[in-house]
Amino acid sequence: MTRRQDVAKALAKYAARKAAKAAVKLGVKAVAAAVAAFGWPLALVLLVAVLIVTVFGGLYAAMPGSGLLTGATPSELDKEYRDYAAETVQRWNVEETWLVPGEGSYYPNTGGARLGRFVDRFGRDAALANTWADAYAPVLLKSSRDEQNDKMQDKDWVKDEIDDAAKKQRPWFYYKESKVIYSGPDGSDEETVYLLVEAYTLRGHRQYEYEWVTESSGNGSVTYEKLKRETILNDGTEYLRQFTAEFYRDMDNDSDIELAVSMTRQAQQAFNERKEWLDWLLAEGKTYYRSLSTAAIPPEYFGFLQEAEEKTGIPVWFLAGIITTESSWNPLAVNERTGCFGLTQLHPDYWPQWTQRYGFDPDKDMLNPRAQILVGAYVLRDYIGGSVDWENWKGDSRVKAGLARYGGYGEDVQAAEKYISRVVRAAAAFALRDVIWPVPRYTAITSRYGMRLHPVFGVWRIHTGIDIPAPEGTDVVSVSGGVVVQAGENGAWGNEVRVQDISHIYQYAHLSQIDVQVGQMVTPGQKIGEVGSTGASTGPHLHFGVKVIGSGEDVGWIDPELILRRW
Amino acid sequence: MMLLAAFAAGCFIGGFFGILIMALCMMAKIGDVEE
Repeated sequence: MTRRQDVAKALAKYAARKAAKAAVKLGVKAVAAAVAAFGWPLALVLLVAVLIVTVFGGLYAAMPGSGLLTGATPSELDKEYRDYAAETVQRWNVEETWLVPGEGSYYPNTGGARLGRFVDRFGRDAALANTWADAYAPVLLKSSRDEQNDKMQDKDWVKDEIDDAAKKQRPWFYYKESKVIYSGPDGSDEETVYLLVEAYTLRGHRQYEYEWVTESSGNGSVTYEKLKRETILNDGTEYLRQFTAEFYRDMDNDSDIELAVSMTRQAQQAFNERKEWLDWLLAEGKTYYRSLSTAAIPPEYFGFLQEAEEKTGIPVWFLAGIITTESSWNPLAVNERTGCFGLTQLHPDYWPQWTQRYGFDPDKDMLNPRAQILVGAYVLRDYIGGSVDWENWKGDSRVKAGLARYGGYGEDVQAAEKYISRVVRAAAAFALRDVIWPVPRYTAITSRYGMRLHPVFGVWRIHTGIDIPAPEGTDVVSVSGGVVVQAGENGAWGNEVRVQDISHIYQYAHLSQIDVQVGQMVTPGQKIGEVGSTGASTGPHLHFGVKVIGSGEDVGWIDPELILRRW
Repeated sequence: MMLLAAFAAGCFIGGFFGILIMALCMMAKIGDVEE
């Protein structure tokens, strides 16, 4: 948007405000005139009407925006995939619908006539059938296993995988034929119906038994088969496990399959509850490690990590990897099973002797982040034993042995492998991906974080980020790693991109052009758009804000310079 | 009686216009501004 358009916009706003004032004046006059002419009843009518309108206005203002409930809006590509998945799943849902002679166990037989549609008299087949989410979730999970490429952008791949998933998890239904007999004074009539006798689905393996009943009302009666017993043989997890083993051909290890099964279940559930893009992808799996960068280290702990590095020689990024794995930066984290607590999850049995050795109070400093970080680092140094060449740490067996002890596995490095790999991957991510200034070569800040007189609205209010001026069209790059959760026009922010990692949401506003899509992974330094002056802005600049995840709609903004200027 | 009638009429008119305005705002997505 050009400067002239901005001026026109500001003028229009001014005119609107003036008109509103005039309208209020006119309204007051009209009420006075009405009172004079018709007396107080009409005035009361008007007063009450205005009050009620105000109530509705308040209701409207308090209503959440459309994107708020899910945290994000799905992109066009998401919708296309969802529609495709829905269509494909629908086709496979009725693939295994077989007519059988009577009650009993049939799965996985395919004898008799194929019905090709849902026919159960009580609609239980449709309730047990798969939804688009059941096929979509495993595909999304599979795509996240490739660290290098964003496979969700490859339509052919996604559609092939959706076909494969829908086919491999298709539900099996067996029906028997039955009758409903209506009799009345004028004779009787009967209707052929179908009853589900067995279902083998992701939602469980079930069998149904029926008995004949006759129900009379007035001078008529109806005779039909009524459900006597539903036997639930399993809850479908076994089917999902089987599917998972077949679907991820490269997965041969039981614990990986278990993890994939539980993640798929969670994702299917979440999608079925209409949460389209969500935390589950961030919670585990490789995507999680791809989203990490030093920007995710909460600034309030950064100084303590640097202090720990000075005192123990263990680098900030390695400690960050441990804390991410142990507590996800939650200073109040407590492990119910082991009793370990705090940022570095130290064990309560050893805590008193360690804290005293390093000059802290065992009781008062239990959840003190500085004590947690320093003591954690000292303990780790003791476990590793001696100094490590942190340039070539991955090959150093002492690091692994130290981590195994830290993780509570003692000398058993083999058993600790999974824990070690989680720490190593997180630490490597922190070491590899450092914070990058969002507008390369333009380092001036014209408006810092804090209270200021707003240039467009003319009132004192908090400025929730920093303004970095640069010519229109200058590249804007991502400061952090993470997932794009917003990419598009957003009111006074203009064209806006928001990127989320495990700790923060990073906001880039007033862009002239956006180069990323919702759901896409970004890494520090990746171009996400270009500087512009869209929305409430008086000239081309980047507004960069950082907010703590989990905070409300308009709160939780922190000073971005705490993240940008830490080295 | 007059008081009650005036009150009821006010509620009716206010409710009507309130819902109308709210529906129009929702359709036009007015007020989604965040800055």
